[in-house]
Order: sequence, then structure tokens, then C-alpha cells
Amino acid sequence: MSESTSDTMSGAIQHSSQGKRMTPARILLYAVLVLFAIYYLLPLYVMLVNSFKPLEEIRGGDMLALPQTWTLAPWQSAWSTAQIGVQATGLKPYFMNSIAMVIPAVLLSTILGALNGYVLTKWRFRGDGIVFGLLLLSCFIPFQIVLIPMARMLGILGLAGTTSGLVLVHLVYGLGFTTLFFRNYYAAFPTELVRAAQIDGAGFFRIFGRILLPSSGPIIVVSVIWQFTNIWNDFLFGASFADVDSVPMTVALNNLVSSSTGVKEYNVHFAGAVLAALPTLVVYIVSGRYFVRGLMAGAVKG
Amino acid sequence: MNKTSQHFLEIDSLSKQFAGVDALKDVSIDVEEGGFLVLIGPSGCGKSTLLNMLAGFEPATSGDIRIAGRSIADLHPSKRDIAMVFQSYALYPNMTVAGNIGFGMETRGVPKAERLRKIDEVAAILQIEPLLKRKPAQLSGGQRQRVAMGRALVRDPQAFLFDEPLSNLDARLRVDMRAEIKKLHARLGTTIVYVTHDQIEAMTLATKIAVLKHGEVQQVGTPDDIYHRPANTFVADFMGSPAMNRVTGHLQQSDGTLKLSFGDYSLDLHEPSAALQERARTQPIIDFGIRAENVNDSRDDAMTSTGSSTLPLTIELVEPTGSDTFIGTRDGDAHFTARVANYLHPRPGERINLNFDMSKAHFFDTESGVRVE
Amino acid sequence: MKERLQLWVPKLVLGPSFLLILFFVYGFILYTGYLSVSDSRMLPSYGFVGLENYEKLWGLRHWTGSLKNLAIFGSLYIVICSVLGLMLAILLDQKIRAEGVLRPIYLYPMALSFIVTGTAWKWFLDPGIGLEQTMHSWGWTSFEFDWIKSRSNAIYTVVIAAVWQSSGFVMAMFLAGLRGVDPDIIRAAEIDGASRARIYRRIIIPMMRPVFLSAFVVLAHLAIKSYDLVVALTGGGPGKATELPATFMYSYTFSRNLMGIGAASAIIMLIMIFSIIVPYLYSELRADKQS
Repeated sequence: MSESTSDTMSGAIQHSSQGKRMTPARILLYAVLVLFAIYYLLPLYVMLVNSFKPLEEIRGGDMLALPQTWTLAPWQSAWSTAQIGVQATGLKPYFMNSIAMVIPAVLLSTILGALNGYVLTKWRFRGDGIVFGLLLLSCFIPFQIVLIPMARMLGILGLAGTTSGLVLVHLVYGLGFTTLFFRNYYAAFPTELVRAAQIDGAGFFRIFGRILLPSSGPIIVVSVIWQFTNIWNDFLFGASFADVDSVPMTVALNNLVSSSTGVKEYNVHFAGAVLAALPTLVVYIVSGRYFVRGLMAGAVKG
Repeated sequence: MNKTSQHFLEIDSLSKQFAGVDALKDVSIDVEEGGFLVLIGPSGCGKSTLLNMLAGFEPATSGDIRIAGRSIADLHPSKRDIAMVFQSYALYPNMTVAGNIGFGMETRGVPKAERLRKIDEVAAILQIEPLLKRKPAQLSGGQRQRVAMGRALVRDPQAFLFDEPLSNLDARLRVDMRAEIKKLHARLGTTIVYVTHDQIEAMTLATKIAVLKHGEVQQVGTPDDIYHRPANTFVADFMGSPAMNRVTGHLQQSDGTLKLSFGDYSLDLHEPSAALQERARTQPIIDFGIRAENVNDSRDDAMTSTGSSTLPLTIELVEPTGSDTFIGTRDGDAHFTARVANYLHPRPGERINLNFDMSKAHFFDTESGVRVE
Repeated sequence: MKERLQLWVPKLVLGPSFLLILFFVYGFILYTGYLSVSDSRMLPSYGFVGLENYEKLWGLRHWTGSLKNLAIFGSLYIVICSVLGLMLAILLDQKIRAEGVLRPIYLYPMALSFIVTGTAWKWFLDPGIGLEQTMHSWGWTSFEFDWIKSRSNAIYTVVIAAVWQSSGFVMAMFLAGLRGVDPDIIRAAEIDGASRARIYRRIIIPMMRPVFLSAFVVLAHLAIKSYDLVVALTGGGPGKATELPATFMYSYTFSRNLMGIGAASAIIMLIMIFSIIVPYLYSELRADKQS
């Protein structure tokens, strides 16, 4: 209603529904915001657009232009015929390797994380703080510190170069995060409910299954998304411990892109990069809210 | 809109809609200079919205607000010459107590020496001198409350706005701070608008109370008015503890006396008003109300007045509060709370004769709830 | 009997995870620690050599160069991400109608693998084919941007790509912080007559101190761990211009077969991260307990 109130009030306090008028300052504000949106979208746009161009067109220059001739050939090549390392299999088998690795690793680490969080909040015992502290600290170690002994241990266990070996690695180094998620979530869960269930005669697993688990939906989603994204995107462990049959997508993509033989097929590289990014991007688009919550929980404890 | 008026703060037909829903409907309240207006009502009644509109955080949909005859409805909060004490205190966490109190002067470019002098002055009034160098996180609830008041005080405004300032304090501290606010008001003489849901705060502090419900003013009046002459059943029920006894009864004339009957009982009305006599003829069904302190044990001579009428009832519940004892009675549909002297030692199950001081009775229209005098 | 069992169930449930972590994290750290003072080369070997590996390590220009690169990369990465993140958060906090569209756009790079990010930016920054070539084809023929091929500037291209990936996340942290500010505090400042710029400068931004700290800790530990991005973007080159401790450790351990030195470098990385993380976690957990 009045100019002074609507223009000088801080954005954070105007909860009322009326819209803001477009002043020059606000137009500038929007311009800056849109400019940044372009900055963040540009690399993705460039990859997508150029993955549909024939190679000659890419060499021609303008990376922002839409394809003059649309072609799916780079995608077909990236998926099933491109040279990866020594074999011309495309990325398909490696995509499958990643899937076979991600699913069990995500499920196991989430289940264990949930149980750990439950014990650490509702069945407190002497020294539980130290256990949690050690789990938490394990989230932040530089993985270089475990590469050498892990390589030996996988050899001793007979898991060297296998998908099972990678599942074990990702399970171990994801536990800290999943435990943190569930611990923080269950800490806010009323302990009175657990007490009441105990008085009703429910035991450890029944209380977990009947009281806590039914209301754990959101944090399970957070944990699954976080683990999925991290494990899918991992490169270091894949590059260090995988063999022909277990090489994950990220490592295969890097092999494809950095292979020095022959002409650089940029369009195929882009199609491959988008293929590698697709699963996590889809997860992000479908449930970005939970993804952000996972990020935040990893950054701000308590 | 420059009508002259003796009123200092005028809230003139103020309305506010949020997304088509009425938050305030045509609210008009006047306060004299130096007055203490308390806005009270259940949550969602619009009292906080009204305060925010006075402060300038919410624009009005229609209506006007004037201080000393000058419209302030279009002014930015900082230009209204008001100061506000928030429920959460809203202290700037990164500044010291002195910084908090002085921030407004700093933004207005008051010279440093002057600022320090005024901060010291206010700190002395509120007895917070030793705290000036601390950060809000290092203060107790009561101390934060004082600092929040200090920040308001230092502005020397035309009016103070208080938004449930005591609701975050424990019971004991609340009573102390209440007294302190009252003393401060007496000393400064500045007009205050104060939002609360606590009726004791309203009764003890206000020179004028406005009771709101669903965005509408139910009654504006002195604490005495509100308590002793509630304008409708909502105000009657909302103010006073224990709540007013209410029962629907039937007025009838018999043997030259006007009687109110309900169930098996009937009470005599001595010297009924003309309106009630008229009512007995035209529309005898009426809501009757009486406060617990006007219902007493007939054995307690000190409490018995001439215009009273007696009923025998059975005690169901005894609630001693120390100074008085409240008893609850129930006989069929008739249940009443009465205040009796505690030396009479009432016991549950006992029969008791209760005196109803009918000169203090309230009557309301059954349909509309409006007071009938 | 059953009662006694019930008492042990929680510990039995937590036990496997705890043992896994104890062995695979802390046991392995000790093992690597021992290797760093051993004569291991291609394979682990247990001859004790004292601090010889560390002495050799600090004598290597490859290592000191990677530390210098980390210092440049890390400080620019942290500062630019924080400034950009805070700025975007404040801009987005101005009742922007399209916030629901913009926010996910700023944040999505965080969901991508560094390998994908590296692939995209490697090409984008390649003077023969990417941005420079595009500018030429648009007629700006004097445009030059060849940092990725330059020994002195290549490290900045790593900063560009890393900032692109992480700044949206920092924005989200600051936005959450801004949204957590008690609106009454802002109202109080308005009554005090402070302008919006002043409210941000004097009141809101100082209140973001915990967010700055969290952002610093997260970004610093990401910087020290940075490995994938460098591998995909520059491969450590040109020359050794973009080598970081993480890539150094990998190449000394697995390509050059100097495992003792590799282990020593890993220990140094661990010390760097722990010196940031441990005090932070300690204070966070303590604050947790008090509240």
C-alpha cells in the first residue's frame, strides 16, 4: 500500500502474499540471478548439444549452436561400441558394473546406519560418544590413507578386482555418513515412545520395526540418495581396486575421454559424460530436496 | 482525515485481509496520552496482527492509524516514532548489550559521546550497567528482557509496543517483570500498547483493555468494565479465573418477585432492572452468569450481602488455593464454582447452602450472547 | 536369560559396524603410518627406516610443488565459493518469485561426478575447440583463453571448475542460515532505522559466522581430498603444474613404486585434514551436548 513499506522492508520479513513491484533495482537483481543460472547450466548445455552433432560440426567452432544435423550416432557409440581401454564395448557393461556395485552398497550401508543411529540414540551406553566420534571422524579421512592396506586386504579376502570388494569398500567408508544421518534424525524422535513400547513388552527389534522405522521415511530417502550419489560418482576406489569385470562408470568414462589413440571423438565423450551423469541427475531432479538435506547434515552437525 | 480529537493514539476502522481471509475487521480503538492499552484474546484473534500494523510491518487493507492527530499508516517502522519489545526479545546476537541499545542511535548518526551517555542513562534505569559489555547469549531470560526494554526506552518514543514480552519467562520472574513494567510506565508516562494472552497481565497493567476474537473487537473498556460488565458471553468467559458460572435459565414473575429458574432451582432477583422485567414478559429464556466470588457459603457472614438468594447444593470438588478455597458443586444440570473461606473446611459430598449475590449477576441474550442490563 | 540377552542386543547390533570402522579406518591408518617409516617400495615391506621417507618427501620438488598448488587452489576455492555462495544466497533471499527454479539450477553440479565436471570443463577451456574457438567463430578473433595449456595458469582452471561444482552448495548452506534468522531481529533493526544494506552488514552477515565456519571446514577438506577433478581436467599437467597431494600420493605409490614415500604423503594429508576437522567436530559435539 505505501511505497516506503514495500520498498525498504527486508525480504526476510515480508511474509504477506502481495507481490513485489518491478523496480529497476529488482530488474537488476533478476538479471544477475539469471546470469548465474546460465553460468551453471552452460556446461551441461554444451555437453548435451554437442553430443548430438557430427564430429565435423564440432570442429567447425560454435559450441553453443544447436546441431545443424541431429545424430544419435555418438550416443550409440558411447553406449555400445566405443573403445574403452583395450575393448570396443562402449560404456554399457561398465554402467551395469556400477549398478551391481551401487545397489547392495547403498542398501547395506543404509540398513546398518539406521540400526547404528537407533542404538546410539535410544540405547545409550557408556562410551557411545566415543563410538559415534570415531564413526563420524571416518567420514572425513583422505581415502589415500587406506588405499595401500585396502588393496592388500582385498587380496587376502580374495575380493581383489571384484564388485563384491568394491561393495565392501563403499559400505565401510559410507557407514559414518549413514550413521550420522540416522543418529541426528532419531535424536529428535521422542524417547518416551520407546519407553512406552518397552513397558508394553516390546524388545529391541520390535521397537525399531514398529515404532521408529515407520516414521523414518524421509531420512531413509536422504541416506539412500546420499550414498547412491557418492558411490556412483566415486572414482578413486574404482580406479584403485576394480578389474575388467568390475570397473565402474566413472573410471570407464575417464578411460574413454583420456584415451590417446586415434581421433578425439568429442561428441562420443559428451554422450558418455551425460550417460555417466544421468542416474545422479535424475535422482537430483526427482528428489533434490532430500539431496540438499543430506548435504546439510554432512556439513552442519547436531 | 485531519479530524481533531483528544485521543493520542487512534486506530480508525482498521481492516486487514490475508489472501481474502479477514484477519482484522473494522477495528477502532482510541487511547489517551499516557494510556496503557492491552490487546487480549485467544491465539489467532488478530492481536499480534494489529500490533504489527501499528509498528508498520503489515500494511492495512483499509483504515488509518494516527498518533497525536498525524497519520502514520504510510510511514516506515523507523519513522513512526515508536519502539517495540518483541516476544523473542530479538536482540542482535553479535552485538554487546551496549551495542544493542545504541544501534538505533548509531544508524541515526548520533555522536558517540551522546550515545554512551544515553546508554548509561537507560542502563541505570533498568539496572543493567554491569551487563553492558556482554553478548546476549551470556544473559539470562530476565536480563535479555531488560535489555530489550532498554533498546526501546533509549528511543524515547511516542509509544511503546510490547508483543507478549513476558511469555518466555518463568512464573516468578513474570510477576516481577510485570510489576517493573508497571512502575516504568508510571515513571515515564509514555503511551503503551501491549499484547498478551494472560488476563492477569491485562488486568494489572492496563488502563484500557481491548478484547479481540476472530479479528473483531468484542469490548473496549477499563479493566473494571471488562471484568464487572462484560459486553458479551465471550468476554465474560474469557476474562476471570475461575471462569464465570453460567447457566441458561427462565425468568418469571411470581408473588411480585422476579425469579430466575433453572432445573429444580430458582433464585430471587431483588430490584431487577427495567430491561429484565421487560425481558421476563417478552423473551423469558436468558443466560445467567455469576462469578465464583459472588457465590459464597451461607455460614460465612462476612461474605453474605442483602440482595442474595440461597440454594442447597452438594460439594463435588474442593480446590484450596491457600487464601481462598474454591468448591465445585453439581446437582443435575446445575454446577457452580463458589469461593468460600478456608476455615469452613468444606468436604466433597457435603450438602452446603450457597448464597448467590444477585446484585452481581450478569445476564446475556441466549442467542446473540449480548449483555442484557 | 532372555533378559540378559536383551541387554546385549544393542551392543551386538552396533558391534559389527564399530569393528569394521576400527579395522578398516583406524587400523589402516596405523598400517599406513607404519609403512611411512618403512622401506616399502613396490610392495609393503617392514624394514624400519625412521623418518627417511619424510625427509625424502620434503626434498621432492614434485611434493612441495603440489603443496604450493594446494595452497593456491585451496585458498581461492574456499574464498570464491564462500563469497559467491553468500552473495547468491542474499540475492535469492529477496522474495524471488523464481527461487524454486533457480535454486536447483545453482545446486545441481554438486550431484555430478567430478569426472563428468572435468570432462565438460576440459573441453570448454580447450583453446582449440571450446570457448576460445567459439569466440573466434563469432568474430572475436583476438580472444585468447589458454590457461589450461599454461604451466603458470592451469591451476586456476581447476579452481574455475571446482567453484562451478561447489558454490551452489555453499549458497544452500548460507540460504538455510539466512532463513533461520529470527524475523523479529530484522524488525527490531528496521525500527532502529537501519537500511537493508546496513541490516545485512551489521546484523545478518555477522550472524552467519557458524555457516562460514561450516563452509570453511567442508570446503577445506574437499580441497585437500581433491583428486578426481584434477585427473579428469588436467591429469596433473601440463608438466606438474596442477599436481595436488592426492594425485602425488597415487602416482608415487602405484606408478612409481615408492610406497614408503606415498604412505608418508598420505599421512601428511591426514594430519592436514584432522587439524581442521577434529577441533571442529569436537566443538560441534560439545555444543550439541550443552543444548
